[in-house]
Amino acid sequence: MAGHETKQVRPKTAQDHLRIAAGSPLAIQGIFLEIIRERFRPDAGLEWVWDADPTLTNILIETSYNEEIESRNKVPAVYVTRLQSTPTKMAVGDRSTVHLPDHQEVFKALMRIDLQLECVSNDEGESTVIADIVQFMILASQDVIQREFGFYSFTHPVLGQTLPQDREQVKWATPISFSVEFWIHWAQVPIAPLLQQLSQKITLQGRDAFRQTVLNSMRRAT
Amino acid sequence: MDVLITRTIPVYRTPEDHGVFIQWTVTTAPSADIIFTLERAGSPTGPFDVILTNLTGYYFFDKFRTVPEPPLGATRENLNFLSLVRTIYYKITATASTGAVAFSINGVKTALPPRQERLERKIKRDLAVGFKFNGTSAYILKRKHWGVRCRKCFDVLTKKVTNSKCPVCFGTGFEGGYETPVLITGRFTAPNSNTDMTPQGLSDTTKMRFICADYPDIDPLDVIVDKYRNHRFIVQQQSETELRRNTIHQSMVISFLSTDSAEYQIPVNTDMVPVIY
Repeated sequence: MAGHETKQVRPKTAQDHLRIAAGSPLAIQGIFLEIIRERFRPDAGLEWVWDADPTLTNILIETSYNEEIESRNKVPAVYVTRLQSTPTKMAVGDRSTVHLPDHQEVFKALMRIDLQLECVSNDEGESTVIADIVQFMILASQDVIQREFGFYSFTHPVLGQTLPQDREQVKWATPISFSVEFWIHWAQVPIAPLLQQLSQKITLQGRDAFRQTVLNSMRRAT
Repeated sequence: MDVLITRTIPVYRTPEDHGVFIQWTVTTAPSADIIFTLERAGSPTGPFDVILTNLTGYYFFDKFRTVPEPPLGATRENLNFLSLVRTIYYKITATASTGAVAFSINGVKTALPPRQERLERKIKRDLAVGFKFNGTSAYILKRKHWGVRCRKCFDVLTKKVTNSKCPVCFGTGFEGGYETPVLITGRFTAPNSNTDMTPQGLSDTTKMRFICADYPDIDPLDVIVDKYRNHRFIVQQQSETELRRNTIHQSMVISFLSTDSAEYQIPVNTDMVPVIY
């Protein structure tokens, strides 16, 4: 489980929850795709309007390193890249609580994910302008994003240098880097105590030798 | 009456005093007064900017890099006579008092001795004969490098284009973006296509060479349009073969542009009957 008391770290658009867990890489990328696409909606008053159809949109907003996008070399574009995910130790042994009757242990850690948004255009100026819009949108809506998508904290987005890239013609890319943090929780239920009442029937030299078998589970059983 | 530009030589004296010396001659001149109009463009097909009218002499030293004045409220990027890669095309129009009009267009270049000039013509003719068999018609779109700046998307302070698909400048920062298309014949070599995985997903690049005659001079960032297919290419590298520093033919590395590029919005007359083989 990833998130806070009221919201899980996953996008509003339906994803297959069995395959894509809250807080997992595709969920994180989905959240920021949704947020950036929302900023470039038709009534946002911007020159660039996002459309789900890659032939109609005049700004492409997708995940990076994606071989499923049929629109090749399209610009302007914003690409969402997930960088490393690092769980941070916040308590001794990550322990949060223990439920004594069944000895269920609950753990938690603060997951930190670094993200990079890349704003690409054929012109350096346009790349910079789009990057500025995206950076300020992320900066100004941090509180809302934290509340709505289950994040714990959010670093300020850093706008990087606009640099050329050699493609079919020179493209300019401006990176925006930031990190998000959210709580992740998990539990362990030792199965040994559940087996404590198992009985065993042993036949020894023609005689029944019934024994109540006690498993010594993690030195807590008796 | 015929008028012919005989010499266009770039001259550098001081940073303040440099330009292009242009000389012309009139043949079969009528018995009348003749006045000349001198114009300048980045492409042999124009559009031409008028530099001076009512000239009566047969030469002129063009150092008027700020001419013509931009329209009210517009900004002009002035011509750089010292640029190493720009070709300036001059047009001289002779108007006789009898009403006869003639004009000549010439790029800035040096002249060859007569023997080498004949050799140059022979080599160029051989190339032209070859193009009859393997040549393809193509339009050359010379990218503008001076003139009135785009009033829709260009930031004058930082000199940046802020819309790569601007309908006014097509991402060049100059109104109109490109000079009038020049129709030429050249040869496209077999393409080399690559698909690479990049942070922006799969990126397709198709590169090839385009070989053509020396005229007009083609520079990197100019656009070549395949007349029959409307495929558009951007020039990435340009190399030349020369005879005593005079260009004989040009060979360019060109890259096939994505079909959603702004360069496909540049109006080019490709309205023709396709070739039926």
